[in-house]
Amino acid sequence: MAAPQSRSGYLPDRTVHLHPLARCNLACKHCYSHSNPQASDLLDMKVLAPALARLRAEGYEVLSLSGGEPMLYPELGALTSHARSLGFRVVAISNGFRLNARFQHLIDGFDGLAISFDGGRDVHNKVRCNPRAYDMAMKGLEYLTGIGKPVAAAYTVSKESVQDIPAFVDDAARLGVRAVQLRPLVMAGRATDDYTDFALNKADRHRLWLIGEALASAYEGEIAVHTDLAHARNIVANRSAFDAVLNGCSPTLSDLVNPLVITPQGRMLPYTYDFPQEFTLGHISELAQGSIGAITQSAPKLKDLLHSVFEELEGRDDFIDWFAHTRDHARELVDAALV
Amino acid sequence: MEATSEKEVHKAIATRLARFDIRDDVLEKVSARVARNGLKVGGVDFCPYGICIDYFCEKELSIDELLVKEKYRVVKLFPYGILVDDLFRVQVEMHVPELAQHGLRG
Repeated sequence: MAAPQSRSGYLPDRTVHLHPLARCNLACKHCYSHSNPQASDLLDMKVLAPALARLRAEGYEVLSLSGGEPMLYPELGALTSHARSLGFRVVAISNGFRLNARFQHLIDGFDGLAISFDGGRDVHNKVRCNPRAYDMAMKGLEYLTGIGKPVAAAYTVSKESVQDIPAFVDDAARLGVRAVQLRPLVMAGRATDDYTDFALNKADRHRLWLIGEALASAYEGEIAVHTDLAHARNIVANRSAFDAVLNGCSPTLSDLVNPLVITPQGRMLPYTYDFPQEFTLGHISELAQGSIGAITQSAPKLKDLLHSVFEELEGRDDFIDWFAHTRDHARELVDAALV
Repeated sequence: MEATSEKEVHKAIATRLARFDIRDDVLEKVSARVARNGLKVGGVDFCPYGICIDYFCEKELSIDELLVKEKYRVVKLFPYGILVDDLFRVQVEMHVPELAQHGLRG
């Protein structure tokens, strides 16, 4: 296995963000993957097993499962056990409905778990279209902290969920949750149809950044509070994290793309689930057959994209969500026929 | 009367921000000042006067520029010395009455 030389991109670990299925017991108003109880796309372990071995050999360290609801994946035990045998650290983000004693055998397969939240009880249940969603998610947090499993809360911040953040962090700290990740609402999937009024604007992002800093200070030593925003100047100042792509030298795939996103249809994409198709890195079945040609062919496009994003950011003076911003910039290039 | 703890001040500011009690233009002003000098932000703290920012700086810094041009209320400079040559931690205190007021009132 090629040992990663240094950091790749802005994530702390080299991560495969795998969506093994599209099915979910919920159908949230802002779901970026259009997941729902009827969705049937699913990746078979026969394809996943050899592909994961290849990805591990390419330097990826963390397998992060999402979906759909990962706890509904029919071969979940086999998937986590195979991934861990390859040396992956395996984590997932779940809605919490199945994080209880009945599914302990599946929970055991994870090194850590995160439960997703969309606000306090009222907002969360409204967004999840389910009156039990919040209580089930909180019970999940309580169960996981009770058994000593490392658990975090991933909190989607929209205009209507901002106000619930301080009380939520307080509850999470009381339960012994390790971290709260504040994630600005991403305008993707169903959110672009049903949830457009609640997107954050520039001032909201500034507000969120200050809220995150204030809460991180308030709860230092109790619970980590992280906000998925960075100032444009800091992003540009740290562009060396992308040296492998920008300098055209990529000894491993994980140097080139981090995170690598795999959809339930098997498509591989850089950074986000809804990245423009023009940047598709091929199909997972090609990895299973040992080919990485499609990914390496896409390297020049990514290089041009990153140069263009950094150039644009040099003129900005605000806080941005790096991955969503890069996706939006890629779309603009596609629309302008520059890709 | 018991003194307000730092944690309570921080929580109160977060709550006021989350309730949209602090105007957008104040947020813009603070954010712009945080980034204006191009230094790396190491941490943010809130105080009875407004907001304190910790920066990390690897170059020689003009204190006069920060005090006169940027008009920070207080500037503290901590050389890392033998730990890391040429690295400085710079703590500045900005007077932001809107944040200070909300923090103290809780």
